[in-house]
Amino acid sequence: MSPRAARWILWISFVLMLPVPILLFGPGLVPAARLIMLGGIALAVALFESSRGAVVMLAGILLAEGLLYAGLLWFAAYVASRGLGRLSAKNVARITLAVVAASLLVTLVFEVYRGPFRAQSYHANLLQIYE
Amino acid sequence: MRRTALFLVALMPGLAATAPFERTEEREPCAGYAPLRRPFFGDTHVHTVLSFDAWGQGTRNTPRDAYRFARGEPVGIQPYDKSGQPLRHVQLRRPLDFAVVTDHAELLGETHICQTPGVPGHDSFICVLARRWPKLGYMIVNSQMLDVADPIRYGFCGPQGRDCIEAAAGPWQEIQQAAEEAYDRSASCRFTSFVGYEWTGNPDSSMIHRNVIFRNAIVPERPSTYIEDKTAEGLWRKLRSDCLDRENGCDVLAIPHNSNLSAGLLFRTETERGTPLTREDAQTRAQLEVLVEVTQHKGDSECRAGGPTADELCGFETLPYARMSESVITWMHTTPPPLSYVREVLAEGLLQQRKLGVNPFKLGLIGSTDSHLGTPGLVSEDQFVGHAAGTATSRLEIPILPDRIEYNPGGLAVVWAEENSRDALFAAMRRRETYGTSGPRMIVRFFGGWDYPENLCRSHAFVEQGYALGVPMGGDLPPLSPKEHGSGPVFAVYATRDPGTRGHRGTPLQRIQIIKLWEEDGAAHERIYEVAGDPENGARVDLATCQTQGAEFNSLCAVWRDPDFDPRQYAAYYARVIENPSCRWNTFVCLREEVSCTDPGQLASELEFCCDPALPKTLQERSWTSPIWYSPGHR
Repeated sequence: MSPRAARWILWISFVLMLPVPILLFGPGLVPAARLIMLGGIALAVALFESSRGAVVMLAGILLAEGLLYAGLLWFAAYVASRGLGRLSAKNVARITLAVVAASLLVTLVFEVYRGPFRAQSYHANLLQIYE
Repeated sequence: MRRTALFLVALMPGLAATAPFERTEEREPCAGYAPLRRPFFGDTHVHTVLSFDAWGQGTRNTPRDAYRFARGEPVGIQPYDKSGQPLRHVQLRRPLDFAVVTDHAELLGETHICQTPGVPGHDSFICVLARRWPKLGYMIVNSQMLDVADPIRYGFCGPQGRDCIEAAAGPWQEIQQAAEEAYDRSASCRFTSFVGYEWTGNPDSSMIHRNVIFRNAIVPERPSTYIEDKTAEGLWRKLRSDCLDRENGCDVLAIPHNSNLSAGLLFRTETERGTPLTREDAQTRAQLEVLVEVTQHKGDSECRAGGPTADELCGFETLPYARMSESVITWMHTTPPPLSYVREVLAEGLLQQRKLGVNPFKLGLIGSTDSHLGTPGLVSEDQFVGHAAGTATSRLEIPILPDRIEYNPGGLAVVWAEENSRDALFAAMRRRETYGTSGPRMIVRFFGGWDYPENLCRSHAFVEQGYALGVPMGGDLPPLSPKEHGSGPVFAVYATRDPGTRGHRGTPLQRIQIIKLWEEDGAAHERIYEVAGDPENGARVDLATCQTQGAEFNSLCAVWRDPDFDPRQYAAYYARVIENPSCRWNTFVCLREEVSCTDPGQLASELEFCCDPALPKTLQERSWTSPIWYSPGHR
């Protein structure tokens, strides 16, 4: 696996799984993708129902927060892939997939997220946080 | 003595002449009829699961549950476990005498549709959003439907919003039925409920809300909403056309609240057309709005901290922002503009009366909670569970901090009436014989006249003479006779402490003040007079136990004559009764959590507020009577 591919895989898994604090409308710990998803929902309301009130601002804040984290996580993935670049392609693949698998395992088994926007239970695992 | 009292009762102009209230409904007469009136404690501002915002914050209590709670039964509140069992239970230490469920009229239909499977619109995008992501749904829908100047209904409500307007009939019926079931029509008169709702105008996030309360079971087919009737004048027109003008026995009052968050728009001196108020406008307003809610969860609205008299008691439970939208970020906070506080509004009323001949802001005072948990009257500092699911997570898990630190447990409405029935209470509200408290059940009498003897406080006939020789709180001073022209009006005020309950003793009193407002040369003025008790009584609180210490008064009484009276000036006088200091709710939280501030660095982030020196640890609970007005023309 090339470092470039490792970077993309790590970045996607970070964005989908790494819990990040909600800066506004928190407290909470959710994946950046969740913030982007909620921002997208708010934007959809503005587009298809009504743009009155603070819905556009709300969508903007959630999307901005999510995209800001996505950018920071891209940088983190970039640094990690640079570190992996010294290794052989096979080892890069092994380590990358191990990181992804371990993250999946931990986030699926444990309730590592805190989701204030959820209908049920503040604590959630990976599947629950995307409900 | 008893004979003298009966004789005085017969002479009382205020009681005998009003005779004393009209009965508009069928019910048994109350066994506990008191011609000299009793104080009834209640809450006129309560939300349940029928309010969209309460539902979005996880509230499941219905209007029936709210009335059960008001009558003293325990209820569960959020969060709920997976089997639907509440994880918290609350119960009043003393039941209320009356309550009004005032769910938001706006979105009653939308909420019903979104909550009820199989109903057209239930699977609409907005309803799915509200069910799956309640907090996001609440934030979006509230901002789109209430926080704008010109709201329109969502697409799933059909043409002209007809489906949602029709769907509101169900919850409106439920509100009426719950009120009817809770109302004690027997001779024991234990509890009174009123049918009501909240009209929730919030243009640009400025609260111009009103609680609408009906006298009896005769009510309009559906409530007026901000979506259809977008101004206060629109609401009043609707209340006239759908209720007062029907001449079918329907009677109604509107009670404005949260002037502190209205950005000065709740009590405007302009009409909806932007023109100055006319005499007719002022009369309409004065007819429908005779009370104002001076305190509730979202802050106290009595007076401005740092106002013209530097009244040090005006910082009480004051919110640091002028409208709710500013609450999110500190740098957005602005100073509330003029007419954001009740004292300013009462003074403006005197100026308007000089100009128009009618006082549009002749407002009696009450307190209430604005509970969004369906828990009326839950006002004890040590029992505060929040305004709703106030913190971000309390809908989902038991919070340490029950709500925003600047909120408070709210207050109570106290009504002096002959009996606990709808007609008696409503008549008392209409004549403004009411007062508000910040929670404690202190008892306050306040009379104004010209001839009260100086030794009235020592008389067993204080109340009889209070009525016989003058007027109670909410009234107009009797005409001034030539003999009295050189001396000011006399006010008799008497207060007793809240006795509390077993294990929860009430806090003693510290002092009574009379606040005088008057107009002079086209400007409003105010002055505060200490009339009883001792502001320097050395009372304090042991913060380690919340026990109060120091000098205390179980009751206070004063007969006070205005030394600065000018018969040419319009004036209003109200009494403020202050308790000794006691613990604020946040201090009880910190004690429960056994927080030590010796090493603040070790504290969990949710408990950092416990060691914040800027945060008040104590407060002085209080009550505010309705004013007594003086008019130069009133001879």
